[in-house]
Amino acid sequence: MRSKTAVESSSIVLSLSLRLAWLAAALLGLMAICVYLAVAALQVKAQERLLTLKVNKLTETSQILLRADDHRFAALLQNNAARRPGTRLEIFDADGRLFYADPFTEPHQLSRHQRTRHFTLHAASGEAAPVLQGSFTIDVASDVQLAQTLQNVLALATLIGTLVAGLLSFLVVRQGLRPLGRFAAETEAMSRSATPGHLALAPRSSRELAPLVVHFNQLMTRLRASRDQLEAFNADVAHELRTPLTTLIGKTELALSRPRGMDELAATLVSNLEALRRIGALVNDMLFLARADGGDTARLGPVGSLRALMQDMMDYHEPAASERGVALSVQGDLVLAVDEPLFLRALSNLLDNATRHATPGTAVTVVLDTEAGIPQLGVRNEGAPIAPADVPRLFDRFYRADIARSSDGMHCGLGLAIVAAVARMHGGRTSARSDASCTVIGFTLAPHRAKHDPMEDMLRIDRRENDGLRRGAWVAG
Amino acid sequence: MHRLLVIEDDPGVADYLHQGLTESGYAVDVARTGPEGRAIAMAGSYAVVLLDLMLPGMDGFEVLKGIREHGHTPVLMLTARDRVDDRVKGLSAGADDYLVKPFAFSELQARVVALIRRGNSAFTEQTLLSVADLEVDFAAHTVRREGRRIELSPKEFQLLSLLIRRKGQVVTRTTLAERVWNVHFDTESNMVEVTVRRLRAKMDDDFSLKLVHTVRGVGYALEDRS
Repeated sequence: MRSKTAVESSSIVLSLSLRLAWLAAALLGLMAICVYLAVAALQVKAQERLLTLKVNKLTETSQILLRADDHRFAALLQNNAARRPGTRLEIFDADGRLFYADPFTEPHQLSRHQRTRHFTLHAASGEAAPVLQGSFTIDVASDVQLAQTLQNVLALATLIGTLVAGLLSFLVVRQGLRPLGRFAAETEAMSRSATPGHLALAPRSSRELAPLVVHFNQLMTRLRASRDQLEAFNADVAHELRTPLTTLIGKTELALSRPRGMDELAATLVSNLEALRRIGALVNDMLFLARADGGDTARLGPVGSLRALMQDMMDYHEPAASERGVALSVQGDLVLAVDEPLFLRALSNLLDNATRHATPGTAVTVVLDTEAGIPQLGVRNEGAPIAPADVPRLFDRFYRADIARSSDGMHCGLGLAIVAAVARMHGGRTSARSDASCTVIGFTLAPHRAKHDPMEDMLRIDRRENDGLRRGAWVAG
Repeated sequence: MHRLLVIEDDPGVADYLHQGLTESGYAVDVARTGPEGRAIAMAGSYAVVLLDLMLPGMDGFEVLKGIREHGHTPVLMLTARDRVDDRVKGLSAGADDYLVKPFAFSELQARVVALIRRGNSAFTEQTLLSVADLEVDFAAHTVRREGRRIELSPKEFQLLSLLIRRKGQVVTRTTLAERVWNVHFDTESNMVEVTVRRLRAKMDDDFSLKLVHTVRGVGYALEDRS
């Protein structure tokens, strides 16, 4: 793990410095080529200027001397030959016969690097004057040598420059990436730690890294919060399962501890079934919440009256309510699309909750209305007020304001958490308020989500037929 | 006797299905892997195939494809996955019904009966059912005992219909809540008990022969136990 990290981070440094070295090589190379070309061009220009100068002088001299006396001109050329080292002059007359040539000896012995200018010499006037053709050659070996040296120097400079640039890049990049290395080291240490905390890396250590560090720390905070929540949730689940499991194990052991009659064994099985049902209900509720957390959304049915939709559910809760001396009623109506099974499930949980906490002889009322354009459902009951500190936590999983009554029936403290999940899946939110006169718990619905899922129509019948197990029907077998 | 094939790899579930269905009067074969299940299903003639989705060797959808290429044996899919999309996939792959684990055995029994009936083209929905001196006429929506007309509320009638259609079988409270009230989740309510009590008051209390029986901890059954 560690070596892999090291290899990867050094490869960033390597590849970056390699790239920088290539860049330096390209730039230095280009510069060297430019310098070389410029010098070469200057050399040619200087050579040409020299040739022009010499030929012009020759032409001037010839114009003065040629008319009068060819031999004087030739003699002059011969006398001056020593003053033209490193050059070579050859002149032919009109018939192609040699008129004058520098000897092939020092200082007129030229290297193979030469530059030649051809010229014609005229007399200024007079037809008798001969026309001479000539060539003036200069030795440019020193220029070529200079260029050669320059070329070598430039190539060497480019090479060394590249190497130095690469090395410096390597050092600078490595230095620059040091915070990244610290970041990796810290995160690695953190991943090994049982209780990961925050990165100590100062956010200002580098401007590019700062957001990374900040976001990483925020992520860690959120992860830790959700991990804590998950751990608490798991502990709660285990705790909730422990009670029915204890009953199951104990009663089964007891039943097997001595010979028993059929009736006694049947009674044990019935009681075990009750415990299994509670486990089943808990597992199903948790699965439901897990899916809601996992992003399941409501599948909206057609737009319709919620009051009409609720009728069966109200009837269904009627006997349990009247057993507690509580009357159920509905106030108002809303016409909109909801996921019917989800909506009814939330309503059922709210009715359960309200009925259990209502003072006998009072009424539980489901209120459907719109506030500030947002449709909402509230279930109102009269009873002991919920402590203000408890109100915000009502919808937490496994949260019970009344510990003393926690063990009755199927209620494991997920009822209102499911209400919250259903509200979320409908794009709404939960609401709760409680005072001395009454408690109202409910949720809002997104006002315009009329876009209803066509697949839902296809499945509606199927779901009604097949939904044996949205809840815990199985244990009933 | 109808032959059923259970294709299920979990020994616990397979044994339980084997025992339960055998006790319900079916001849039951069990296959433990996908390829084995497909081979047996295609070789034999079964009234219904109960097919688990997660199988070793070959998944349930593959087995189903094999069975469908071969014939029209009704297939009831059993699965622990109950996302709506899985359900659609199962049904569109040619399953006749879909049951989510963990399921009530009584629910499974009812589905199997329905599939066998559906497979039998001669079967037509009866409009008149009777148990002993009880007669339920679904067309006229009337109930009689000893020829005497008994007035029931709509919910009571629905509940009685469900019990008489599954006469002799235990119908769970959960199933009743689903079918009669469309309540698909656990609630505290004792509505089922209350309605059964009212139903009994109207159709059982005045007669010496009791037809609606409570199965302790499970549900209710309608039959002549005399």
